[in-house]
Amino acid sequence: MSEVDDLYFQWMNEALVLAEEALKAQEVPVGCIIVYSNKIIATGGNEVNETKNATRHAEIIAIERVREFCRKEELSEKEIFKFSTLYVTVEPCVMCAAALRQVEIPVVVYGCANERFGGCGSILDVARDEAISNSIGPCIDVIGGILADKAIHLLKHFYKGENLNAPDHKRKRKNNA
Amino acid sequence: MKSTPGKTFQKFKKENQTEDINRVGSPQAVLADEYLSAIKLVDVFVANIADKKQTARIVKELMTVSPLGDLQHLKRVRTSSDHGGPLQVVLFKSQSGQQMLENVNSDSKPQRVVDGLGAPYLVKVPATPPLTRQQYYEAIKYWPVNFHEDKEIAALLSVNYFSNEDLQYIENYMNLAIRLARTAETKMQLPIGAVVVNSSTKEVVSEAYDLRQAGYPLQHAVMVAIDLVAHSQGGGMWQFDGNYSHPSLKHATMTGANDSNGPYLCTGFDIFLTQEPCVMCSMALVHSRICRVFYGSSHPDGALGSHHKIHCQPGLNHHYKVFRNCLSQETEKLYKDR
Repeated sequence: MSEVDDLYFQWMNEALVLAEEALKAQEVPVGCIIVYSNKIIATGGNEVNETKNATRHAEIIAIERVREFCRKEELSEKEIFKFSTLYVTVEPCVMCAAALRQVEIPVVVYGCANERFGGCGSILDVARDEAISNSIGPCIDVIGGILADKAIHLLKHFYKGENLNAPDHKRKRKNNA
Repeated sequence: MKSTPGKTFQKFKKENQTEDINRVGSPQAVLADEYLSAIKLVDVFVANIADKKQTARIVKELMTVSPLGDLQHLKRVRTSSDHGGPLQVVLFKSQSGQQMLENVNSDSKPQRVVDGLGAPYLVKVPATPPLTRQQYYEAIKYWPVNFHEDKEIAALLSVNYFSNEDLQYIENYMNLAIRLARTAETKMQLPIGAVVVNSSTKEVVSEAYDLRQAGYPLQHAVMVAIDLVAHSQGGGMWQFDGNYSHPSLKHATMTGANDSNGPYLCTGFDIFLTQEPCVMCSMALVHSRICRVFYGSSHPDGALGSHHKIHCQPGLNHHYKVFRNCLSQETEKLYKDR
């Protein structure tokens, strides 16, 4: 295993810790960190239920924490994003892949594939679609499948339960599965 | 086994003449490519039936020895184009265009097993069932086919899909979206407006415009509108309240947001946009469970008709209806310099 690979696993383990915490808090167990200059400068977890905004995915939360970090440290957001790597336990969705391009994060490392919404190849490959570079920003280098089994394990655990925030008629009952 | 496609065809043709989906400024449904594409053809081997009285027996036997498989939409038998000519029956699909004759004539092949068939020859037939009347007319030029019209799709393709009342509703909120786009322009922002409306009560839930040039590149008009909807339900993330630079950003205050049957994300809501949304915003609308999207101008990188069709993307768990071209004679003025 190369040194770089080793680093992927090390940071992904950090992201998995966040996903486990989310699971304990009954949120979707997805963990995300943004690493700049060998330091975690931002973390994020899914905040859809508490904000009633379905776009509050872990990646978006982490992006906004980088912005806060830059404001506090008086750094240029654009420069920081340009040299950051995002680690997330599940493949970014179509929306997040496009969002990551717009803030110009160059590298994304993810755990398991996202068969329902994935934007790095599962549903669409938004991350590497050169045709939209003018409006959405540069393509992203994507590395998938890092500690995928652990990420899947957490998701399976979660989806055995039910989303208590969905309205009654929309909610999937455990015993219907 | 006799078909009368001609009769059905005439009936359809009459209704079809009223269709004109490209009227300037009127809403036009954005359908999945499969409804709009030309029909695909496939080679099949057919044979003439020597004695017409044997047709029923031959077809029955062929159903057993050579079922149509994925060509169930084909009528098994047709009268050849010249009137009173021989009946032709479908034998089987050609595995490749260059099938060897000896292979075709091998002993196990249907024309050997079933009596009363002439020498097999290749004919092009529609490969898949027609999904629209237009595809149906095209298909029957090659071979008679069964056509089960999808009433919803047929309605969406017709200019009469919307009542005058609906059209007035669309025009009103498109006009509001255009006013918001104009406001954005005065704030040095991109002229893109968004209005979310509860489609059953016709009440405005949020009024938004693009803010990506205010510092945060993800604050596209749709993302702002969605967060304002969240604010209307007691949630939300971005702080707009008390933002004196943008007093035009508004949201309703919904009651029952915490009831189990209260409002849930954008379920049952329509969004009106001056411009086709990008892939991020289109997916945000999937996550938000929007009901319908109406937009004015198309964008080459747009994800609801131009570069993608996210609203009918296979694999996604929510699909919404999309109408483009809404009041486009007005929205085009916003983007004339593009």
